[in-house]
Amino acid sequence: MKYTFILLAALTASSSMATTVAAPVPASGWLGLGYTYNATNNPSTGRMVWLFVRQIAPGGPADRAGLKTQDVITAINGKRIAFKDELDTLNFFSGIHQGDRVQLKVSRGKTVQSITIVADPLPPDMIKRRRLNEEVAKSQRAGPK
Amino acid sequence: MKPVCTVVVVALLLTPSLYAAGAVHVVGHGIELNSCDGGVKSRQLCAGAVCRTLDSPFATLTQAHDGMNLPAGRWELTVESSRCWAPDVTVDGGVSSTLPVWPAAAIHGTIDSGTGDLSGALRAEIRLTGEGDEHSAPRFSENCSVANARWSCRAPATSFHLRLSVDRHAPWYARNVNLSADQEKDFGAIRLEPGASVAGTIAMPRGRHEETVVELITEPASSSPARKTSPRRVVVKGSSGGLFQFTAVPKGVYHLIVSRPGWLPAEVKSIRVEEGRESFLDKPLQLTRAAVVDVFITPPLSTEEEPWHVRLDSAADVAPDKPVAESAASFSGEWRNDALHAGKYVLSVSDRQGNVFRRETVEASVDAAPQFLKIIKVRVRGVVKLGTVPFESSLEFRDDESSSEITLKSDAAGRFDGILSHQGRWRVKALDPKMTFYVNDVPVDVKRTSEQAVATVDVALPGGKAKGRVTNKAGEPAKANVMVLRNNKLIGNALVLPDGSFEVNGLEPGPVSLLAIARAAESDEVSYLAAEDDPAIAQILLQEFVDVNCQLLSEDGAPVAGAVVRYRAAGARRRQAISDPAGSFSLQIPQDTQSLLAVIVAAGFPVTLRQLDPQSPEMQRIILGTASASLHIVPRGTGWPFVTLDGQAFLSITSLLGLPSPDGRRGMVDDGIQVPIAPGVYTICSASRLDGACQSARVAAGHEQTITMGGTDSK
Repeated sequence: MKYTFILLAALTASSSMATTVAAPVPASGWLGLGYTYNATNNPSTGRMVWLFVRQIAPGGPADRAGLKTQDVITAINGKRIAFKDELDTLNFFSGIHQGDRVQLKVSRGKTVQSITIVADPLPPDMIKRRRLNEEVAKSQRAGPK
Repeated sequence: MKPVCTVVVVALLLTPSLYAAGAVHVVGHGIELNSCDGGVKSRQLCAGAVCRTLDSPFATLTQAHDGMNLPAGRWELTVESSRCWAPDVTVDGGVSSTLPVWPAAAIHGTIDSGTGDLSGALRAEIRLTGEGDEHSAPRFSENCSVANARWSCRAPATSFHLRLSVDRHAPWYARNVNLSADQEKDFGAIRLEPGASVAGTIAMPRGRHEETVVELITEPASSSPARKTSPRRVVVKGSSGGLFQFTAVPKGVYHLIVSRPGWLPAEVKSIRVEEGRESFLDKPLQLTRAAVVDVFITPPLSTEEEPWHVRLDSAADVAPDKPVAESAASFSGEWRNDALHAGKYVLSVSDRQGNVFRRETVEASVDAAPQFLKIIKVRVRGVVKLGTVPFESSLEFRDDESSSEITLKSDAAGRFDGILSHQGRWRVKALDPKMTFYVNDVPVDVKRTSEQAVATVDVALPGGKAKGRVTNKAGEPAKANVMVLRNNKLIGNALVLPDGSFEVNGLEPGPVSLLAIARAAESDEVSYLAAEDDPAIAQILLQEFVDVNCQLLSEDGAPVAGAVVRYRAAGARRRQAISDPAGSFSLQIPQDTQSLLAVIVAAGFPVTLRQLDPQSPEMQRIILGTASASLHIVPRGTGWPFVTLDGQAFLSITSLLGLPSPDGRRGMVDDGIQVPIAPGVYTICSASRLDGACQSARVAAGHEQTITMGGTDSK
């Protein structure tokens, strides 16, 4: 089963706020793309976890960075994707803040390229969707009741 | 006068190049430098020690428009003056910098006995106000003296936010301090709470600030000792300038929520609090005005004389799992929600049974005017019959606009009585009482004359039946649902009973297709003739799925990732797979499939159609070529035409479209679809392909081929 998630960012504040003259609290970040989480077993490559880009928000950070629907994301910030499930994936993207640079290794057809997306602040109407996505992912992890 | 000074400060800070390069420019704010006594003491730092000292009296600085020229090296500058104040700064000699000077003032007060032992030095942090946003405003530090529970600091005669701090205590804040030259401001008793703290500011909207509440909650995932603390709340007062502070906060990770009536809450997660330290949210939290949906429903009460139930879903979600809001309207019919994000929503008005009497798209906005929803209750009464026999059933009435969904029940004599939301055309789904089958989409017209209080509605279901048996390959009864299709449209559905039998009544006699579906198994579509008398017993074989493994490669052998592969085994339903980074994908098809058609839509390649071997256990490698033609298909009549390569397996031509891109393009044109496609011979059949209306065309590389259902053009 695959679920589509709209990538939303977390409302996570920086954990490294200084004591006196603190760095500004970064706003939650948003990449503006929807994906499905996929884990496939392949005889030649073994288990692969990858994200399939299903939606791009027009004019959003992913769109501006040149990401396209049907792109396959195989690595993030130089590391091969190893999320164990949808919730794990959502948790990662929830930790993104405004201004964060997220480097993606992207397979598009037969080409492989690197795309860096700079996160925008999370649009208010995405907060609810993000929570819904989290609930779906949690129920998916919990399994059928 | 002050605004002028402000502009000067900004200009000086941002444009040092106006002055001689490499000099320290001493700039007076609200004071002429020659009115300052004393001067600037510059100490050069060499290996951590002072190795050279230079004194620059203000009197000389006023004549030196090029500023102080310091030799190369690190220098600490201190203003020693009773009438003027400047922050201590460290500069690099030879590099342009600015030393701002203000008239001197003083601040002082006493330390509350509850503060405890102040073993560390008290420091004042001065953050100038009126210098752009708070985050980027200039800020300076000043050491304060503490003796006999009294404290005092020197300060600039200007406007600033003040923060007094000492190690391992929560700082004390004063917002919008405004001092004039030589003023000594007494802040009275201040209390510096021992322990860690959380503080920040809210970009306060106009109005009463007392309503703004900040709540600090321990994050559920936190394993810190703070887990057991209960939420804490502070009310942010107008006099605080939007500042809030929580003191004596145990170490841990926290979540902060700011709420204010009429505004959407702002929140910050994962605030890490360390022992004895302050976590300051330096960027002001922004609140957004909440949007409102306000509706008045007429009549105010439902058919059960109870308030209506109102549900609000986001119009952006195709299949929302959870409503945005859901509650009962008032007895006067009003329903209001004033805690929404601006945007479009779908509002549903239903009764206690869940019957939807009105569904509307509504717009939530900050100043939304009330909307009036009128529901016309139309009493209906009638009889439902299967052919000539009364039918005890559950009747789901839906209107064409999907704005109402109302269920009525008929008794053993087929009689039903209830209320619909309007007159006009409805479509009825009739379920038998045992829920073993239903028939779909039966059209019903509801009309009431002015003399009638009740509309008579008879639901006449045709007397056609479909019956049969579903078995697996071993001949055993198989659990499944049987779909009854006519012209690819679902007109009925039956549950297969434990003995493998099924029956659907209420069908229009004539040809239909039957398709049994179960988990990981499916039958072929079986052609069948629904009949009123003695319909044939259809024998449907449920076949388990098998995987057909394939790999997509380019002509130069590179794997092709992210291709959308839509496929259909002859007689089965359309499915979809995506190629992985190695170009691999699996197709699930019924075991005994004879024909398998796949459409491959991959980035950088024309759309490619392939007939695949449904029986091969081997990996099937598909080479995608780059030679491209253009195929333009213009449908006629209703429904999308189908494409086929062998006349056995068909896919809708919409399968040739890519996923929607941000610019909305995916191959749809005004009169049909137009896509880049691999050269080849394609057969396009009308939506009702059983009538044999197909036409084939060779599509040559570099050419555009238009296929109009009923004629073909080539350019």
